[in-house]
Amino acid sequence: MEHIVLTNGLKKSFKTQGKTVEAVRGVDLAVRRGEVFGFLGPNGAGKTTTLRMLTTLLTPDAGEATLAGCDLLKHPQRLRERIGYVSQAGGSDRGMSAWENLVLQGRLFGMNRHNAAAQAKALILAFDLEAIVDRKAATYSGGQRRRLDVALGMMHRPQLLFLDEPTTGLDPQNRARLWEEVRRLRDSGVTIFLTTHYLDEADALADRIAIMDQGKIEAEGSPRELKKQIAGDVVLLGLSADGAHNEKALELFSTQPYVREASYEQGHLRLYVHEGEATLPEILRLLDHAQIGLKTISLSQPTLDDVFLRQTGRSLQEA
Amino acid sequence: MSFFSNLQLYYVRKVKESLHNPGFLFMAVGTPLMYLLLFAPMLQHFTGMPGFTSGSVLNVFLPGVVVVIAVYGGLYVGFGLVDEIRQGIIERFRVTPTSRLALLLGSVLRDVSGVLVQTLLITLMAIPFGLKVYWGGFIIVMILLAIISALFAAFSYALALRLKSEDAIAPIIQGISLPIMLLAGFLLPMEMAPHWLQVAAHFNPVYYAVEASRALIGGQVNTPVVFQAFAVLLPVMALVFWWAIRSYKTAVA
Repeated sequence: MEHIVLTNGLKKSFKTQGKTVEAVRGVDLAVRRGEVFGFLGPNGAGKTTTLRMLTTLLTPDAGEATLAGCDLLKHPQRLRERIGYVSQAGGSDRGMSAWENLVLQGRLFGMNRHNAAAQAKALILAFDLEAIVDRKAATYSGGQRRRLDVALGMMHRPQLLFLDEPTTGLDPQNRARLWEEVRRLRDSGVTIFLTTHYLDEADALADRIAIMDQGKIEAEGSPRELKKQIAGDVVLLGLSADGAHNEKALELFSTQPYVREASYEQGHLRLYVHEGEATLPEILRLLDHAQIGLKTISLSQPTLDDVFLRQTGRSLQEA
Repeated sequence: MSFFSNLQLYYVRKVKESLHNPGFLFMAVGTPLMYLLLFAPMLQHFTGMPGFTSGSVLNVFLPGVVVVIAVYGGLYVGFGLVDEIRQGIIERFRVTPTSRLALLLGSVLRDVSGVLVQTLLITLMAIPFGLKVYWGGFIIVMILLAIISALFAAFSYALALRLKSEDAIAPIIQGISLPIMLLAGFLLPMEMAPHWLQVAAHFNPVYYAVEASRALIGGQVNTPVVFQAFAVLLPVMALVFWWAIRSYKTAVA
């Protein structure tokens, strides 16, 4: 399998108020050509810093990377011609129309007037911007402006498109619509590298994901593979008992052969078990026998949040 | 793509931005007009006082005003850049294969153009009020004003890139603009000032520009004040540009 992004030990730290913060602490990534690669992690995990290094906006303190056949450190200028980047802020100029924005972007990549206009026309159709093409971007809705942002990133036909938190701030309808655009771009052969802190987004959109936390990659694989590592189902028990009982319950279940892993957090006992449906009666019997009060019980398939929780000891929602 | 085609694209973008802004057009014509109509008439009584000995009072007043226009025409442009940084526009430009120097200079040249157009307008408007212009000298004044506005614009942009907040750059810009203006003798010639103020003015690069402009518009081209002005302003401009280009290369915009 051909890799379009390969990084080795990327590091970056910042000095703020005399203290050194290690934002990215040795990141190794391998992104395959033609896939949607999801970069998942809580805010402040180092996703954007990593993205900025890969898009030549920040120089890494250490490590190396090859993107689209270009060495990041040796040929940043050539690399810029092959990648597209849509930042969290967007990047479209609100004082200009979609048309003016797109044509200028093409010209900055060295296209002549004619080619820039032709490509702008194609993108205006593809991203459904015809109705607003001559209006100033300042008058666009959030979804319209986001589509223009992504179109700007595609103006020079990059092989690899970076999207930093592309759906943050969008309503559910526009979010779904942008997911469709991303899938369409992937189907046309563009590799998409996107960061997100939404679990469902990574799960629904990405062919493979990397989970980042506190400057490091904690797991990498397809959503299905990662969830399979959890192996089995998740049983969540809401206990009515006090601290002593919780300890007792944790101890009790940790020793059961069908429980792969047990953990306790905020009044809930979380069990990773084989064949949840079959073990539920056994769990209930055991609790009854030990006289531990039960308020709620639920059984679910593992989610990416379970993967995150297992790797980092925290839930992504609370991270 | 060549540096100059990059520069042209960035310059045209900024010029269009100015032309589409009605406020900018109003200020460009309105500011000089207000100085001429609302302040210049007060100076009539100064005829014959120190610094006003030769010719029309406007020949003392106007060169000062055009230098002020150049300083302010550059100093406040950073606010616009903060907004562009916030919208992600600068970041988008920084991942294109274009020159960072072209990105900076495109904006600076727009600011310089604005100042030169304003200068030409106010000079033409002042002629009916009694200004005597020596056009050979005036062209050199324009060069001095281009240097001053470029210098302050580059400084303002670099400040914006480093601090990225209107609240952070406003006090710095206001804090330096006031002493620079007061110690340049732009409204009243420094000849009227006490000795210690005259000494302090010699540490202000803008003071030399005001003195040189007064000499030049009156036709004294081959004089020490003119050479002094270039000798002081060119190195300062080089220093500021060096800092600004560094900011464009390294700043996390």
